[in-house]
Amino acid sequence: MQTCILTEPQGETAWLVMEKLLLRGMRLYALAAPSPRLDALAARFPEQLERIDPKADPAALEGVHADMLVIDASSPPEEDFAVLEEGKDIDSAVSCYRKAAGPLRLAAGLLPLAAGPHPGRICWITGAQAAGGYCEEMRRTALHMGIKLLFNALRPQGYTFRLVCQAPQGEENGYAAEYFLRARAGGDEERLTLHNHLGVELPW
Amino acid sequence: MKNVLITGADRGLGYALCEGFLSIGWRVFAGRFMPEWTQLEELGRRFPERLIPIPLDVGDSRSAGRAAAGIAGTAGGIDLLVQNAGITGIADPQREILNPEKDYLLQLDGLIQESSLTHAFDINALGALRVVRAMKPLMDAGMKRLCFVSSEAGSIAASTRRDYFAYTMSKAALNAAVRRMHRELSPQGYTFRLYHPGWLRTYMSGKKNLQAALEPEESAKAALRLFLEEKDSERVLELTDNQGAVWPF
Repeated sequence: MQTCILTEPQGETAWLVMEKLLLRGMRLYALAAPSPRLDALAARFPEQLERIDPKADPAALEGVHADMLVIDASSPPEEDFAVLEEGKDIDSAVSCYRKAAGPLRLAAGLLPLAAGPHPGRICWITGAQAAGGYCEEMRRTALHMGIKLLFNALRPQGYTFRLVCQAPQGEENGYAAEYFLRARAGGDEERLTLHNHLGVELPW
Repeated sequence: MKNVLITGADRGLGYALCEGFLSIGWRVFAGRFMPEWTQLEELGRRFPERLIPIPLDVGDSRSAGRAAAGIAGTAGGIDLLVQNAGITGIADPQREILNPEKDYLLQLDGLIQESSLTHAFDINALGALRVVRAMKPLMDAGMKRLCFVSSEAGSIAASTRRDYFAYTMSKAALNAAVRRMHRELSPQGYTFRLYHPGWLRTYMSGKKNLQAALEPEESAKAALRLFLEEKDSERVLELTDNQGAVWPF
């Protein structure tokens, strides 16, 4: 049975991915806070889904090899500003950037679990395109750059990468799970690309 | 007389741009962050009427506001802004620069330092927004040209790096901010230039990088041409380097 470690779901895309991966028979470790929704999934897939609180139990993932990591980095900043002349204090916008640094540091901690003779697939869910103000646009772009640096280092070692956007509000990204699972041909595995919820490759 | 504000003017590319604009008759407001660096004073002796040093920390909105007030009191407004001030963001080179001899994953925690990431973002990306927000009221009646010194390091498509997270991410964020400003301010008649200066022999890392390809003066010549040229279409924002080549985002 293939194993996936998935970080705290920030939006619908991650929840859909979890369900589809479980339906495909994967074993899933969810690094997530307790929630009724997670409990409901665990009740449906008792042999496959395990919730982990890494702070409470740092050794919980010892010995686990992850065939897939899914890192949900789609959560937008709590505050943003849309217009240069108005809006929030720019000085406070530094805090929004921590939502770029945080997922990368989380990935740094999890990547050793995907290492080995068959390096895993590193999957990312980032913010919806064209959503948010300056903070979100800068945060999302910076995060994509951070992921590209990881790709540059790890792809030659055999890791594969997938990067998708959160779907816009009111829509679903049912495409993400299939995209995470499928191989890519024609040299496409050698490029880091960003796909939206319709499977369309987006420019950086 | 046309007026320009250049941030990060104490040395390097910013200083060289001051010299360039002064040589073609502009009044230059030189944003100073390092009063202990005296190169600008020498330039001021050559151009006493037109070089006006002005304290400016792009990491502080209040400093940007004070600089704007100072410029308003002197010249009334500016025609062109060069947002040049920037940092590498690397606080601990031993940890944050990759040792290719060692395992990447073992170094990764050190390569991604939140404090460095946020500091570089604060200066290199938010700095641009602070300065534009402060200066825009002074620019609405002028030439309305906004110029930003970025880097190919911020090009996600072209990146082959495996480290320098703080710098590359902050330049990518800057590019995103400029693209957004371009969408927002172009309808108001603002025009934009986004510049990759090349690998310069500057002091960004603390001491002059003699291994780099270009002296700042060489890049400043190309920058000046780009910043002043008129384009057939201002609808497209491009990242242009010192050779005139366009880089992907």
